[in-house]
Formats: sequence, structure tokens, C-alpha cells
Amino acid sequence: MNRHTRPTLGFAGALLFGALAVAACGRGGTAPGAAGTPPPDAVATAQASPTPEPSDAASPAPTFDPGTAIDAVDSDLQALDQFLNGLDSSIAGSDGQAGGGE
Amino acid sequence: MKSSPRTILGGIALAALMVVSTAAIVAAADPSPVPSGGPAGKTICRPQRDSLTSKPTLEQLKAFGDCEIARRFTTLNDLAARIADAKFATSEHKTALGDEVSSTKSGLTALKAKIDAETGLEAMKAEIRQIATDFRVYVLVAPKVNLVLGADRVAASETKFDAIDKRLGDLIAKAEAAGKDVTDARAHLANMNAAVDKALGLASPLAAKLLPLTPAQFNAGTAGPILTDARTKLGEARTQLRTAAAEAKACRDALVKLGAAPVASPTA
Repeated sequence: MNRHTRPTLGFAGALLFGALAVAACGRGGTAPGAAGTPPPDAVATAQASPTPEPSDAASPAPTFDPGTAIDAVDSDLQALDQFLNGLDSSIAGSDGQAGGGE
Repeated sequence: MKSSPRTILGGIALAALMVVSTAAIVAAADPSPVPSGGPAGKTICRPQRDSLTSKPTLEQLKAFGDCEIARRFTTLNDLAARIADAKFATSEHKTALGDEVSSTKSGLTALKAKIDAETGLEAMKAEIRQIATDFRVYVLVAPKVNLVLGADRVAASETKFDAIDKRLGDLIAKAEAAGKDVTDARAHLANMNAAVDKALGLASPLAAKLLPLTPAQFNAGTAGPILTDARTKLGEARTQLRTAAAEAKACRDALVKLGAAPVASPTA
């Protein structure tokens, strides 16, 4: 019995090792840190790098388009104008003779 | 041509009557229209005034006095409504002005009761004079309300200009980041802010000077110059705010122009 048991355990151990190795590679195709595809952190760092790519130098300069911001300014200016018209009314009403004097 | 003593005396009597009526109330010879939303018309009591002949009766004087009080009530009610509607005014000023209008109405109501019950001609004339001299609705109360509300409006405009300053400042920063020459726009914005500061400086001291003024001070001749000066200052503040608005518009136009202009060449 013992004689037959030893080879069987050796074969099972080999199968288990193989299964673990396949599972580890299955996550990303390659074990982390292994040669080949860089880890995700390294990819992110490379994307955030300020080092300009050669193609950036040829891209157009940033443009200035007042756009909707100017519409908001126009709206503010219009409201301001109406508000200041009330000041004209106050000054006119401050004339002591406006109501007939006394 | 010689005048008889009787004619001279008659003339003096007529002149005295005119002084009483006009000094007491209104010299309403000018039929010019009253601005809309302004005080009650100056000619509204003219029929009653014209009815005061050389020997006015108690009834005629009473009708004249009641009319003058009524038109003041119209003015005071209008002022009260304007105070209530003035969302930009400080609550402190609104309360002070509202209290003054209320106390003036109370005083005029009491005087009206006195006039209505009066039986003596000379006492009635004196009470009619008080309609003007004790309350000064047209030469003190109405100008005070308008000037204080005007000064508060100038102060409240600061918030509106601050918002415009922020918007234009942001646009200038963006234009500059895009390589545009923002010198012109920036100068207009600085001019706007300088004009606003001047307006605030002119208007901010006014309420404290105006609110304490009384009819007695007006009668003594000390309130008039303060009112005149305040009116001048408020007019100057208005000019500054109009200038500020024009500068804001010029800044806006300069920015729009930059949006269409090519990027400025870099300076060495």
C-alpha cells in the first residue's frame, strides 16, 4: 500500500502546482512585475507625465472665445443700467420744489 | 395819477392777505406737470387758494387747509410705498425713514382736526401756516427720503459692480492665458473700479447727515444747505456710476475684440 501511495502523491502535487501557476497567470495574463506589459501604476504615471510628445509641439495655441461669458456680462450690465435708473428718480424726487414747495 | 389813502390801505390789505396765503402754503403759479410717481401736484389746491378773497371765511380757509393736508398725505403715502419697496436700502434707514413719514402723518392728522374745529379766523390762518412750517413735507421730508434711498442705492450698486468685476476679470485672465494683449481691457476694468470707489465715497456719508434733520432746522436755515450739498454729492455719485458702467462696457467690448483678434506676438 505504501509503495503505491508515494508516486500518487507526487503526481497530485505536480498537478496542484500547475493549477496554481495557471491561475496566477490568468489574472492579467502575466504575473505582476513580470517582464512584458507594465503594471497599471506605471501606465498611469506615463500618461500624467508632463514630458511633451513630439506631436504636441505642432498642436494649435489655446484660443480665447468670450462666448457665453460675454452674454452673462451683458445681462449684468443691463440689470445694472435699470438699477441706476432708480438713482435718477431719487435725485429728481429730492428737489424740494418737485412737489410744489412750501 | 394820485392814489387815495383808501386805495393804498386796500392794496396793503390785499398784499397782506396774499403773503398769508402764499407764505403759509404754496406759490402755485407754475402749472408745469408734476413728474409721474412724484409728489401730489402743486396746483391741486389752486381752486381753494383762488377762492380766498380779500375777506376769506372760515369755511374757505378750512377747505384750503384740508386740501393742502390731503395733498401732503398723497405725497407721504407715495414716500411710504417707495421706502417699503426699496429692497436695496438698509433696514436701519428704512425704519428711520418710515418712522419719520408715520410721525409726519400723525402730526398732520392732529393739525387737520384742530383746523376743522377752529372757530377763530386768525388762529385758523396760523394753523394753516403750520401745515408747511411744522412738517416741511416738500422741502425736507421728501428730499430726505429720496436722498437717503439714493445713497443706499449707490451703496447697493457695489455688489453689482463686484459681480461684473469678477466676470470681466476672469475673461481677462483667460484672454491673457491665450496669449492676447489685455492691456486695454485691464485698463477699462481698473477705471470701472476707481469710479465705483469714488461714488461710494461720495454717497456713504450722506444718510448720517440727512436723517437727523428736522423741520425746525429747515426753518432756521441750517438744513437747507445740507440738503443741497447732499443732492450735489448724490448727483456726482450718479455720474461716477454711469462712468463705471461705461468703462465696464468698454472692457467688455475690448474682450470681444480680442476673441476675434489673432494671438499677440510675444514680447522679448
